[in-house]
Amino acid sequence: MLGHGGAATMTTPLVVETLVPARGVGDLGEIAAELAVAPSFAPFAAELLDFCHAVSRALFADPRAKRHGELVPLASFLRRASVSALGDAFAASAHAGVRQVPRGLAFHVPPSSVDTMFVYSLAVSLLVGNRNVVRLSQRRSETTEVLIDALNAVAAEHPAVARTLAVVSYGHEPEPSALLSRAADVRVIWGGDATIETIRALPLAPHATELLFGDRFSFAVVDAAGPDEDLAARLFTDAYWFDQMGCSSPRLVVGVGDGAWERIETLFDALQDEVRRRAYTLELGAVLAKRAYAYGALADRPVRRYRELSNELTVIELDTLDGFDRTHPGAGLFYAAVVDDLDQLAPFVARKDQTMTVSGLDADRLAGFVQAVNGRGIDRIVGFGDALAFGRFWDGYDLLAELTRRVHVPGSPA
Amino acid sequence: MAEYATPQVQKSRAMATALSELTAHHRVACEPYGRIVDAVAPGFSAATSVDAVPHLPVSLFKSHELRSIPREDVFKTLTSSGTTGQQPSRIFLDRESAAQQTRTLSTTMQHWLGPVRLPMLIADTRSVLKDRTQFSARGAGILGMAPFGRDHLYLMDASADERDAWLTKHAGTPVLVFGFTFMVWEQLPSGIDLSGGILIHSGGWKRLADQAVTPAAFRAQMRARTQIERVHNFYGMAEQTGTVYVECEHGALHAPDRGDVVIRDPVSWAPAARGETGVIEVVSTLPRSYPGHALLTEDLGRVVAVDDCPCGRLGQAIEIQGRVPKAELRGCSDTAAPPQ
Repeated sequence: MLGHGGAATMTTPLVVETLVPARGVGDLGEIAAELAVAPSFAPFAAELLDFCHAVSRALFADPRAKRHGELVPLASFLRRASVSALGDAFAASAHAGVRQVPRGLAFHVPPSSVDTMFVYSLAVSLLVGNRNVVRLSQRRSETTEVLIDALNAVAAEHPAVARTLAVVSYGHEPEPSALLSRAADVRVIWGGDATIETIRALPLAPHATELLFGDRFSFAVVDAAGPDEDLAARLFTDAYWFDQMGCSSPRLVVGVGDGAWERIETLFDALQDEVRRRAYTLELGAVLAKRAYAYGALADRPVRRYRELSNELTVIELDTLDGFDRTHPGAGLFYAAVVDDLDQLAPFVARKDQTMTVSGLDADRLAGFVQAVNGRGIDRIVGFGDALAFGRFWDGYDLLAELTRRVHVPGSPA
Repeated sequence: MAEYATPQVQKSRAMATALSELTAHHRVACEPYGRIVDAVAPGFSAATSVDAVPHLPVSLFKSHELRSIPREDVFKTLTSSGTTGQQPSRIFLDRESAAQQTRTLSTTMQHWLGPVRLPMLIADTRSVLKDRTQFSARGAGILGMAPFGRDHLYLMDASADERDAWLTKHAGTPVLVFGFTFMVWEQLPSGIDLSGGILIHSGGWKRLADQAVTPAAFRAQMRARTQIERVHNFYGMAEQTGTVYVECEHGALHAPDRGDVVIRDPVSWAPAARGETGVIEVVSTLPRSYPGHALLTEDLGRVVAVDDCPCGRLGQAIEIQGRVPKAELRGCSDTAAPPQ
């Protein structure tokens, strides 16, 4: 085996594009090594709150951000008042005799469909004191570039926090992800089945944990007798901010009770007005792909009614949810169905269902519904307009808890 | 009646009737198609104009098996590859439909090539026909055109000596040259004499348009290389095999007797005014064994002549203006997985 001697630790540099704390290129091995030794902060340390607040200010100040409505809730989430409240909730979840500490290095693989998600994923992990490395795709939207610029501007003024985070970009080659997986104490993967399978095949350290956010399906439920509450404008936000490609974006609208079809059709008419009012348009390629998808759905089973209100809004009214398979192209295609009573919807719910956006249903009915479903699906129920609002409870996880460890210290205060 | 001899008004009326009859036939014979028509055109019975006939997105033949004949009557299944990695279209033909396609293509081609089969030079390699796993639009095109020539020579398989011997043998006879547009561009050598011959090519301009080669530049280059004067591009979908749109001396692609186009405005989807760019819908009275008589393509084009092309041919003629760019429908699944 001549030529195979030498130090086993010798590695070839793995050069990747770096985005944060500064744009450039770097050796991923070195980046990981530096993160491993960077001093870390206590959960919700003042420096971390300052950092988030500064990012929030940078986003509100960036003129480009005005073109991207989805940045507003992110910037609001990062404000001091908001992250402090999260810190209070975190502190309140502590038990006497148990200290909550960071896990260490978190490796994030965010989805490219929802540009802002990498910052939510990063911020929550950062706030509980983890060091973080984020992998972004090489295909990046303007929104993503705005976010990178904001993070860099703030990183320059907060060098101690900057040392604990890195955002890098590389292609589909497995080596960089393999390196970061070995180095990570917790791995956070957002993506479809293929992504999760690919990354999951890469070994983690034995002690490391993993959070998986797979491809999900979300739907909205409207009680026909409920108030209007400007539902169309709220549905527009929920569905169209990420071209209906966010996992929490509703893709099916279910009407409940007498007059449900009428209510749904009125809602979509109003949604069409909203689409026009906001001058939202899709690329022609997306329109054709959506129509091909919709015609395929029509071929597969009888439907009650097909409505192409515009290039941006197509509605397929279903007589029944039996056999509904939840595949969906995004880009403004809605399925619609009605039930006499909310309970009839319970058997339909499946593991893939994430967010149920509701209107006109009180907490008692919803609690009963969740009880009837009994964990077979649905991880959050929110009002219209809040489908994309990020929170610590996501896909059945409490992120703050998952991203920290519990150290048993008998006698220590809560 | 000879090809390109029917005025558009008369042709449209006849086509609307024939296409309506086909719609009725397929609604009964192909259940999934029937469900689509019930949904997108409720109450449809017959169209008085071609644009009122319900149409399908052409890519539906990739995702769905659409047949209007029982499985046991399938004589031949055409597949088109489309883009790499995509599921191919599957077009099901019975014996009669396959024969109809061949007959119709013959009628059109004889208009351009004359009744005599010419010695045929193919700008490709025979192996493109053999490798069934890669059986592509290229292979299908060659198989479709080969019967219109004789004594075929595959350019890429022949040595320079073999090629010259073949050319010497056919000196003084017009030669038919056929190939995919980019293959012809890459493979047809300079300095050979093909004067009096005729070049038929097809298969999309994307690769050449990327190199900024226009149809006119293509023609000029071919003439410079081989002195060939008659150069005809043609446009057609694998999903409507047999119905081809051949380019005349004035650069217009003429609808054949059995086919026509509706250029659709990409917002209203109503027929676009003459000269306006839109999405091309192709219609054909041929497809009986599968519901492909009215198909919305993913190509952009415009009408350049209606009974008034300087070449004298009647009916509509179009110009292709490229493909609709593929939208990146992003999705939760593309964070890191390599394309399958």
